[in-house]
Amino acid sequence: MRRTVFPHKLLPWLLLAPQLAITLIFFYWPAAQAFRQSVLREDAFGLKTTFVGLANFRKVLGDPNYLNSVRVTVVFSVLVAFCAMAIALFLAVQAEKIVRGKGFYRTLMIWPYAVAPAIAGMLWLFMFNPSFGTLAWPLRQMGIYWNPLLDGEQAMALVVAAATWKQISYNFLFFVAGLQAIPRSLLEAAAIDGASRRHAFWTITFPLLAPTTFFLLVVNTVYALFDTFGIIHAVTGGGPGKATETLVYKVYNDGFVNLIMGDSAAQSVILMIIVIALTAFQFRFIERRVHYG
Amino acid sequence: MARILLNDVRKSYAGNQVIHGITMEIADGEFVVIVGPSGCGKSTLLRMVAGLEAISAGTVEIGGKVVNELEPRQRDIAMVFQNYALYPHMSVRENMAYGLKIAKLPKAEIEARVAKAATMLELEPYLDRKPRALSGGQRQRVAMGRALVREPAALLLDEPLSNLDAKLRVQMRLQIKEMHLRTGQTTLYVTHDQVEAMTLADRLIVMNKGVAEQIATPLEVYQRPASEFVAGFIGSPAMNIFTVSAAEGRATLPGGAVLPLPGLPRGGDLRLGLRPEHLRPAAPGEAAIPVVLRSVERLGADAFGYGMIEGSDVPLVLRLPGTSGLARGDRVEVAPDPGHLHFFDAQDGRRIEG
Repeated sequence: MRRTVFPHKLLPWLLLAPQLAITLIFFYWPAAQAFRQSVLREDAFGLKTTFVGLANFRKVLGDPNYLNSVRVTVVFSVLVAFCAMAIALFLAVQAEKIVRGKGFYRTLMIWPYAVAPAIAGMLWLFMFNPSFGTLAWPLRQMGIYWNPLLDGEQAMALVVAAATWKQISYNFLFFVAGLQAIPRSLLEAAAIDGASRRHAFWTITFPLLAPTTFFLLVVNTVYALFDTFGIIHAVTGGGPGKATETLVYKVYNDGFVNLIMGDSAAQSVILMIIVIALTAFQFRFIERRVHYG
Repeated sequence: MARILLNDVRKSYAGNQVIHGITMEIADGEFVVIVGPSGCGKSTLLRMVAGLEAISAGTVEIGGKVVNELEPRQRDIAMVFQNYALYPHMSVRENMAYGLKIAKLPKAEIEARVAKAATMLELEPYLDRKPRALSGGQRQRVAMGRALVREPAALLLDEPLSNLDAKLRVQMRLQIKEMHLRTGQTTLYVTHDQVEAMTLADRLIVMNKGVAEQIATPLEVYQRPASEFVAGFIGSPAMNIFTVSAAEGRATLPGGAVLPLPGLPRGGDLRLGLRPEHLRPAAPGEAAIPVVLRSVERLGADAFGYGMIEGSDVPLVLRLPGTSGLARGDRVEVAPDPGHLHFFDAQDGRRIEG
């Protein structure tokens, strides 16, 4: 690789400054604040702050509500990441087969990405509202007792669907690019070697897409853990009960609604550790199986 | 092993015909080379046999079965691609075994066949490597191996040597020839390289603009080219071809010299073809072609003189002995070998028998 040498020392820092400033202000500073607060306890009126060591962590980890939230998060994240990637891959493969109007279909597929999470959430909320939802009525006609306001599992299905729908576009874009990078002659060679289309997909296309898939796995995991706050907030608010209260949502609920700052800070520190560990795990163990072309 | 029959095979893209009806029979075990300049449709023809391109009209028959509507995998063929198309995520062994596994051959049989091909192609040390850890020549051999282990009815090769350097190309050419002698596989080979075509083929198809100009053995193509295009394409340096006007057994050359030519087929304007190697220095007093040399290329054993026919701007190439003392600016008189005259129609370029 070519190294670019700048004539003096200041310019590189100047060019990096905007990005560094954003990272410092919006990541390191809040993260440091969270660490500080996670070892403090404030009284109900915010008049006195006491250092309590790891007491907040002990309390959080011993709380059955917190463990429920972990379970909810695992179910939610796995479902969202898997569905969003699987559906996007399916659609990308189908879109590749289209001869005419490829660009048109692709553009249509990418639109949902431009919709803000809260709006997307509202959209799904309206469509599936048990009393006036456009799609709730046919569900009831099919004999399904549809009421996500009362049924925790249905509420979960609804937020998973909304979060998935939002993320498909992004994944689709990357999968289409990934598919285009696979030389046609490889699939022709497979066809001549006797592979059916399905077999060629699983033995040639899918393994060669691995770099894209792996990248998306990391991105989707982070998305499901963090970026889905807006959707959950708009659709269920974590309810009914605590059926859709993910870890991020609980941080918000405990900190900004219930104003238990110490607990909330401890939770966000734990969350940070989980995400770092998860990403490290993905790079360490899954990336090894990835073939970079 | 099988016979391949092409019957008036045509290809059009959106109403635009690019292959204009090719008919040919390829015998069992025959090595046929499709040769032509780029864009002549030779790869398209091969891909139609492989089933990678739809056949617009006509039929392709492999082993007595019309395969027009069959998928590539149902045609019992193997193919070597120009870029080799090795599966990058599989080892050499897995690459070669891929088709056999799909065919659900017993494990022992797969191993035996891969081992045999690896021995033949000297690939044993590399069986567990990925393609990217191989050199160009090794990759090419893996591609060959992957095709051969399948023991297909027909082997198709699409410019398999054009990504190799010159020396390796010569080596692989010999290896391919040897392999064909050993396996007796019906083979269809596409190339733009006339040396590959001449050395490998039992028979050649010389293609130009989607038409098979000539289908014949290499020697026949060289000795009796069916058209001016074939005459100019096969042979190196290319045949000298120019217009002469013929009357009463004599031809008036560009520049005004008159040459008595035995076997002039008819009067009027004709295209006369003379290979550089069939021109010799004229004896004193003999009717000859006067040439003014513009440069001499010395290759050691031979030298090639590039000049113009005196009094015209028609170029002429001569083969000279390597020790020839001729140089730029010299004037030489050469006489054609009467046994190697080629005449072509001035309008359609077809050969006229003398």
